[in-house]
Amino acid sequence: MKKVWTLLKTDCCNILGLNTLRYSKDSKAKRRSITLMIAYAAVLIMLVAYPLLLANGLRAMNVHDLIPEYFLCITSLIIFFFSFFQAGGYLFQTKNFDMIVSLPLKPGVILFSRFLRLYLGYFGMTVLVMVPSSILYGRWTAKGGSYYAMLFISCILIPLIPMALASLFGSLIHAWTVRLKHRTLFSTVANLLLMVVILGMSWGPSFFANRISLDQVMNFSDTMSQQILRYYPPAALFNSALVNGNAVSYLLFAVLSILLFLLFFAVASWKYMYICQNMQVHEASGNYKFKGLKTNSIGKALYLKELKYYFSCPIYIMNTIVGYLFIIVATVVVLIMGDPSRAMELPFSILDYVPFVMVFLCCMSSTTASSISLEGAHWWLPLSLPVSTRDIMKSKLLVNMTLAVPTIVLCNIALQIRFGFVWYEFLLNMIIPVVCCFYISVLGLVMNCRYPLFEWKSEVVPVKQGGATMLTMLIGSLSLAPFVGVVALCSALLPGLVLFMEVMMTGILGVAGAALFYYLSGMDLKRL
Amino acid sequence: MLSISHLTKTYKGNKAAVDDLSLTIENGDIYGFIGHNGAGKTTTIKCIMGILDYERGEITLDGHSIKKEPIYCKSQIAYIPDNPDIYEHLTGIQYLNFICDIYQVSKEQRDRDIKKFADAFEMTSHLGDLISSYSHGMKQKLALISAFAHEPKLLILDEPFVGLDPKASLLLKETMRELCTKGCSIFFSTHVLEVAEKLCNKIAIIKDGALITAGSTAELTHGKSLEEVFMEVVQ
Repeated sequence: MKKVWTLLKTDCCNILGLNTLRYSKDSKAKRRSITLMIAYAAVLIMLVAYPLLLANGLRAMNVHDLIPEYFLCITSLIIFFFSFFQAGGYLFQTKNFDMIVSLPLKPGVILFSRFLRLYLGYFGMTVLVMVPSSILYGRWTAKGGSYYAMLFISCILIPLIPMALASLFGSLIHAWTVRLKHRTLFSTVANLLLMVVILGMSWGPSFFANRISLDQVMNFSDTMSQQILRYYPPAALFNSALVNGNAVSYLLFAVLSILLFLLFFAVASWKYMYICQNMQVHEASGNYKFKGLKTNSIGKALYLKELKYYFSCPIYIMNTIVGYLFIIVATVVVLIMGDPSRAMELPFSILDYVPFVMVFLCCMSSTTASSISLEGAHWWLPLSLPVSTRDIMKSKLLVNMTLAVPTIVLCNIALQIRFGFVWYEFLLNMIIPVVCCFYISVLGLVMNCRYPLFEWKSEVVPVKQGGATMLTMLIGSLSLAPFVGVVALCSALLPGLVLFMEVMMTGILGVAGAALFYYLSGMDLKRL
Repeated sequence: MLSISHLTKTYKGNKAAVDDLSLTIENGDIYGFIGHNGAGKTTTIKCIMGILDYERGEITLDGHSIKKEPIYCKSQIAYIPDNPDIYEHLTGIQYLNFICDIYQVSKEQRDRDIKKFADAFEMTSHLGDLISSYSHGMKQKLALISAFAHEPKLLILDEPFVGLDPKASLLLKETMRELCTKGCSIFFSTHVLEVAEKLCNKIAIIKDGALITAGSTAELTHGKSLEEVFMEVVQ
């Protein structure tokens, strides 16, 4: 255990730039660390505030008995997706494999320290999401001491099942693809397929096929909870334990969590060396015959290089394609099932908000927010080559637009064929998300220039844990919120002005994006 | 060709990594840059390449300032760092073509020169493989081919012989001499003093960021070995 602790301490010592703050003599680096900490604190406050608001909402709807299972499901789902994207890249990172393996450590110790590092983060998240809302629930229903004891012990257990399941899937995919010739391709496709299956299950036809009535919409949390319970049975045990004080259910929940974790750990430890060793083996045919070469412009060469990097890195793809996948899956569901607002008997049409749904989903997925950090040890190359900052930034921006624009255009064409919008609505449905996506992409670059992270061992660090990624999502959402707010307000109070406001707000974001890009183009990259 | 005048680079914490360093590299020079670990060699090289900013002094290439005209200057220079971390997601040939695209090398020239240098370094058969499958020495060879392929006026190499096998090392030395007869200049750092002594027509010795001595190899050594001179001046 001492060795696990030593590894964990070494691994965690620069979380949130703590080591930089303690030992760096660079005041700029220290300021960056402090800003990052403030940003993370804002996210932590949001993590507490949203569940509290939701809990109050559920109480107002008189369904507060759902609070424990509802928050358990939300927490587990978030942990599952985060772990799924992180586990493979982080648990089996090979950057310092030779050094770590040469130390007198068992593979299980290395794996356990890495798992523990992920676990601690999710434990913190569980506490923030579960505890405040569950304490409120305990006070509303005058629960006794055993409820609070079970709640606090649960926080230790809750991350285990989603982490173990996600890591197990991730490890199995790694173990299967690691010896294949095109392992990047197979690994990415397998991961994406699994994600689509999970999305399909949770958004699946049952949601629309049941023809939910307005009454059911009023009890939406109940409906949603039942839906999730079907796919996450442990929530039923948890609910029974906390709401009804059922000790047997609680014991079953605890045993199930620990058993699943042990199962994962046994499989992962068994395959750990195999996966890591094979990840270091690269196919080399050594039979190249020299052929004539094609020439490209500087801009195209940089863009192609960026695109090749994107498609060579499963972690980068998996973490940045989610939003676009959501757009495609949602479009397919709507194409098959029809306008969901009719099925739900809503007083407005969800189709009116197509561009904003797309904007929100694009916001989740900017490739640019980590594109500079991902240069890592290669950063000397763009700095020493005769290329302008503008060309470098343009190539990174274009990668995100290459993913966004075809997704937005094709999905809108499909929706247009199915629903026949008025021509200007069709145009706006495409232009608004494209412009917003441009703005978010540039914002991602600005954030990454402000908070670059070149020293990492796994791509997971800049892609998933980088401050720039988090700040882009945070600032992106905050700066797009007024847009959605103004349009929603207009459609309620001044419907005649909606079109004008949409055009104007899109214009403002377009200009803001262009201004930010101009600022970026003049940036001195060696000062990052 | 390259003029470094009163270059001063201070890292955060007020440690002067390079202190008032002045050097001139003429056309056709093979200039060796030697010093102990942490003396400021790599920092000087990175300042020349525009990778690091500096507080005082001026670096010019044929009269063009690296600060004011970085793209022009970089287009005339090829640089290879001590540890060539090159894009591992590309194949060798994709990397070479990428570099040629950036330097806008004509199709004829890249077809001719890449083949010539790849054959010479025995890398041709490996060019279709991903760089991630290369050994350190192979990456070094690829970086050298990419540097030679765009015919730079100035070649800046940081520890170029580290990781190269004896045959590649010999070939590099021959190619360096050949390039210099065509008017190219080479500025390189090294710890291998025997190589510097035999290869360079000029040598500069740096200690704690300051230039201790610089000049032609013959004048500097005065019949002694470079190793003896180095040990005398850095003591």
